[in-house]
Amino acid sequence: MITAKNLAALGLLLAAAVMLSWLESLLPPPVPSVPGIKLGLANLPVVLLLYSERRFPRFVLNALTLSIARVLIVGFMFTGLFNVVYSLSGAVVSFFVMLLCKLTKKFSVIGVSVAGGTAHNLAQLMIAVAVMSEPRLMSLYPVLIVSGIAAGFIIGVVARLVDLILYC
Amino acid sequence: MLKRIGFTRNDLLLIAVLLLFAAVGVWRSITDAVNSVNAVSAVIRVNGEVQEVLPLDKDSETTVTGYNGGVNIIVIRSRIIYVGEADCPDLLCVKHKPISDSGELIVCLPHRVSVTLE
Ligand SMILES: [Zn+2]
Repeated sequence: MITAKNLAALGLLLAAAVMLSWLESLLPPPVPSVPGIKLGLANLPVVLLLYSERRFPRFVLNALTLSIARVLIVGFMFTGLFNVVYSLSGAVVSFFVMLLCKLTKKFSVIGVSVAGGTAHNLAQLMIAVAVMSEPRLMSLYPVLIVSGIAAGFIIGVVARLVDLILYC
Repeated sequence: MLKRIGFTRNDLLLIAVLLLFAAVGVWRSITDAVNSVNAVSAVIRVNGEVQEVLPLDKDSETTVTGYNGGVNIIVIRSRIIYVGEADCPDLLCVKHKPISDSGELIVCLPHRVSVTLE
């Protein structure tokens, strides 16, 4: 059963995710006009939730719901609906890649988050290629991998620190 | 330091493999750029279909109507191409740095417009 405390925590995490997305939309894109390049800060609450099995009974489902809800809220509030399809594919693919990597038990939260960040960017690039029927866009993939690694790494480290602080 | 917060060898391996993939792509675009002949025209596509082919040696301003009726103005000034104005929500195409070498491209995702040099 999900408790009132869980529900309150979920609300807070969702608010944090929306706030981080908003913050990100204020920053200039690191590489202008490369679709999907964002710092991906909003992935932090999702990673945190994916690693809170000790606190949440249905953390997997909750993490997925959180990442989808975040995309929809941000789409309606700030970025406009045109890129919801990009953000949504990025969020969902990234979620399942992280879940799989976590289930292998081969990676720490940092590796899982790096895989998620990279998957997020590459999924968006592929959707862009498909929507625009422009295969030349694929040539942008190295930038997207590197920025995905960087964002995933930062988020993984922060998630680990938050976890250490909460459990020390 | 990283080890103390749980960073593992597998994490490092994952990052190394991903960087290798990225390096292959960078290498390929470098060799492509070296081998490519000079671009002679800017090709404008909407939804993957060619709309306009503009000669680079003539300065011009071309208004392109993209998907959803959005407008992008493509400017050519002494063989350098950029998007001068657009009414897309993110304006990333306008902020994109001007392009001049073959293989470079500017895209406007909301309008599904791409400009390549060929
Ligand atoms: Zn645009």
